[in-house]
Amino acid sequence: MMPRHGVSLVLGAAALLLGLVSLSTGVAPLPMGEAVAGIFEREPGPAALILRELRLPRALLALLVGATLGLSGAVLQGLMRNPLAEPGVTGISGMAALGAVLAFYFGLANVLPYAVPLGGIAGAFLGAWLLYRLGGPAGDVQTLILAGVAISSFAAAATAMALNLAPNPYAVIEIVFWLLGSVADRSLRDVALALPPIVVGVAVLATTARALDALSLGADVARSLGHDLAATRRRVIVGTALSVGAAVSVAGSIGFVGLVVPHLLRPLVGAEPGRLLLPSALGGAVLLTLADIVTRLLPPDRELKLGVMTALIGAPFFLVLALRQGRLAA
Amino acid sequence: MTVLALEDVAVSLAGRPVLSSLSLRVGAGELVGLVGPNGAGKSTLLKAIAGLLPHQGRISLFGRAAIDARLRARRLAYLPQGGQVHWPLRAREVVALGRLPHRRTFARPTAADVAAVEDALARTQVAELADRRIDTLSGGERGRVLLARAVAGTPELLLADEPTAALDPRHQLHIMGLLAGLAGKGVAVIAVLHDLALAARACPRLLLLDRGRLVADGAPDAVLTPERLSTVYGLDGELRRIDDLPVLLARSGAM
Amino acid sequence: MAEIGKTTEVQRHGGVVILLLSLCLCASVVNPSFAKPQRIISLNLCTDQLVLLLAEPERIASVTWMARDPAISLMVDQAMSVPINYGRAEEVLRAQPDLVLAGRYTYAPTLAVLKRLNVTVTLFDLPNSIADVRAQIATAAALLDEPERGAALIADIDRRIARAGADVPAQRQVLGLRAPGGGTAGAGTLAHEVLLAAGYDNLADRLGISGFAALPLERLVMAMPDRLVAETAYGGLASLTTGMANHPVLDHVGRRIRLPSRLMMCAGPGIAAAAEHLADARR
Repeated sequence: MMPRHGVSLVLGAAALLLGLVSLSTGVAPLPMGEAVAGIFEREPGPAALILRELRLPRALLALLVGATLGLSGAVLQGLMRNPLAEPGVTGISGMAALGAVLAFYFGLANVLPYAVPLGGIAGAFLGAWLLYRLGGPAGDVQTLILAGVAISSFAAAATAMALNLAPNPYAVIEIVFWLLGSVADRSLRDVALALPPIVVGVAVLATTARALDALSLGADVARSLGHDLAATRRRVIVGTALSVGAAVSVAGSIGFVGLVVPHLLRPLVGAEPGRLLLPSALGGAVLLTLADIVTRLLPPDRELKLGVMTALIGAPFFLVLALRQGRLAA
Repeated sequence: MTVLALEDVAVSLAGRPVLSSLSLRVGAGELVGLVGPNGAGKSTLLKAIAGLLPHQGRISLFGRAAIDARLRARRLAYLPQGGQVHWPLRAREVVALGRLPHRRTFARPTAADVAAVEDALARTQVAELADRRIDTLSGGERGRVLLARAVAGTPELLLADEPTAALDPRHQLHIMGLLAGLAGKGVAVIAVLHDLALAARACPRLLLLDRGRLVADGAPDAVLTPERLSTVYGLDGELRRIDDLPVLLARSGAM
Repeated sequence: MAEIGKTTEVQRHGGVVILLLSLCLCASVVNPSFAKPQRIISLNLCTDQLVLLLAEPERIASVTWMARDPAISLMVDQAMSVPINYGRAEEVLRAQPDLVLAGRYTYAPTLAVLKRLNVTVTLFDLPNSIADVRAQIATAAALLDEPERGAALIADIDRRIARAGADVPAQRQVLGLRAPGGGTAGAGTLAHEVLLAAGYDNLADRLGISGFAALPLERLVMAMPDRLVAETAYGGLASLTTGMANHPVLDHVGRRIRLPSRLMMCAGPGIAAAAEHLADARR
């Protein structure tokens, strides 16, 4: 059992380290000592302000959102017994963005501050449910991809339409944020909004580990091993909806993390789905924080959107995986 | 001690009756062969016993009419036909999955778990394949690993659907010997078998299913009579013994 | 019978009148621009404002729908009493205008169609300085044939700005200007000149920025200006960049001056109002 723990320890340390690097990365050169010293003052100086109000939320969100995406990818793959499943590809993130957009741009946030994460969660819930209905409990490659394409396409189109019809004319150009995602210029308020649902969702997802292991042998054997598959499915849907929904509502729809991370970790940790959960969460945090650091190191006048970075890595990945799977199925 | 009792059990799938009026008992330490032509309902019967299908009538396991799924999982092992493994797991990991019902949710595997896994690997003679990835094994090797998974759960009732399907004759005999050994230690084993001669040879008791009904229950010679072979299997033939080993002599397929 | 050769006075006057009339008629046919434009169309928010300020409503065929949007227009009431257009070529053609004003960045395909159909469109750039503002008002006034009104407007704006810049302290406060989406206006922009005229130093200029450029939040915070203009609620409607929720860090960056950035976008009295508001804020 050592290898699994070893990998998680390394990833955890890496996540922490990258978090610190993220805090040190930014447009303005920051005198760290002064920044850290002033962090708790009521009227902090500029360095402490930047650290506390700009860089800290950004680093925290990159870690949280990355962990959410990595974990939910591993869980979805385990449940659907398909290495292509993850919240972006299956359209769940897209639906979460739609829900958040509807809540935000049509004024619900003025009525209820929690409206936007709730919108994201509702959207993600609907997306997960649709995926299950369209893709079936053990979807084959084609069915899963098609269902995911259908759901993502619908979500993107509906999001574009909602932004087009939104009362505020600036909404239309903000589509870039929702469809590509970013953790730039987020505030501690965003972290506070997203944290509770993410924590609860992640906890719920973690409880599915054993059932996912049992599912490696097929639904019948899993049930004969004492697992209630309907309950497992419910937990996956609820956990994914809560965590991914909240994450997307503050960071937009960032794709491919949940696809790439479990795949990279499988050779290191073993293919047991339950065993991949913690490493995938940590690996997602590492990957997204690293990507976010890279976006800030590139030419300064145009900061690359985070979702573009993950897509640059993830889309070719997805293509190769899909082709390989298709060849096996054929 | 009766491990399994069926009383007037019926099962329908998609509105169509698949099993009807089934009553039987199986006790601890019995090795029972479940035979019958294609479509007779053998797999369905195993699934119903394993609690995977709704049914009418009573199925009592270990003396109880109703049993909690987790408790049942610890005492009953179900091995389906043509088992799939969805991930490229190592053989040992697959076998270890059989211990899941005995493990508490987030606990490490105990010494007992590890011992059961090693024992199962040894019994099914796949110990040397333990660290190989299951997708690199042959059909027969895979079948044995999957059987080891079922054995590792130390069940009191083992339901095996065609455990010898992809195996060569040597391994077929070995597996039946393994099942007999389990029976000798008190495990009740019900195995669906296609090969009548093998069933007759290895199983002291046979259950013959035909179109969802139990038409015979007893010793192989009593069950596989020429009349039954004719009416149930549409075969013109008989069960002969050569060197005291049963052989199926099929002259032709009678219409 | 002896008077047949003599013309009567009426006949003589009538002849002169007819001659004069026919001259005038010839003149108007030959040189149509000498007449005041009677069917004016504006295809741009800034030209909407100029048209509404300088011409009588009866002469205006239409202005854009944006002129009626209180979130971006300074002449909503006036826009209510004239028809509006949505910037489409068909609307222009149907109205048969004798004067069309548009912006440099009005929807290009529409402008192309109008050009192809030989409709003369006069384009106005975004003003980059107070001098530009004066020039644009003068040009518009000339096109609309209202030179006195134009001159009066320019004089009024000049007077108000001068008054706003009357008591500039030796040590000017530094003002940071943050537009929705994080941009700022550096040297060479109208906003820059208005800030200066109102007695401030422009943070963007101090940071070496010219023209319109992005100003990352971190740089803004690090620079800690004395005052900050950060456009917030767009009429109370939600959006990531203009919504109620400006980034909380901005609450700590200088004292806020609430000033809608639309005041400093177009050539018009808006800049005078902006200068006055800014000057009041520092007194």
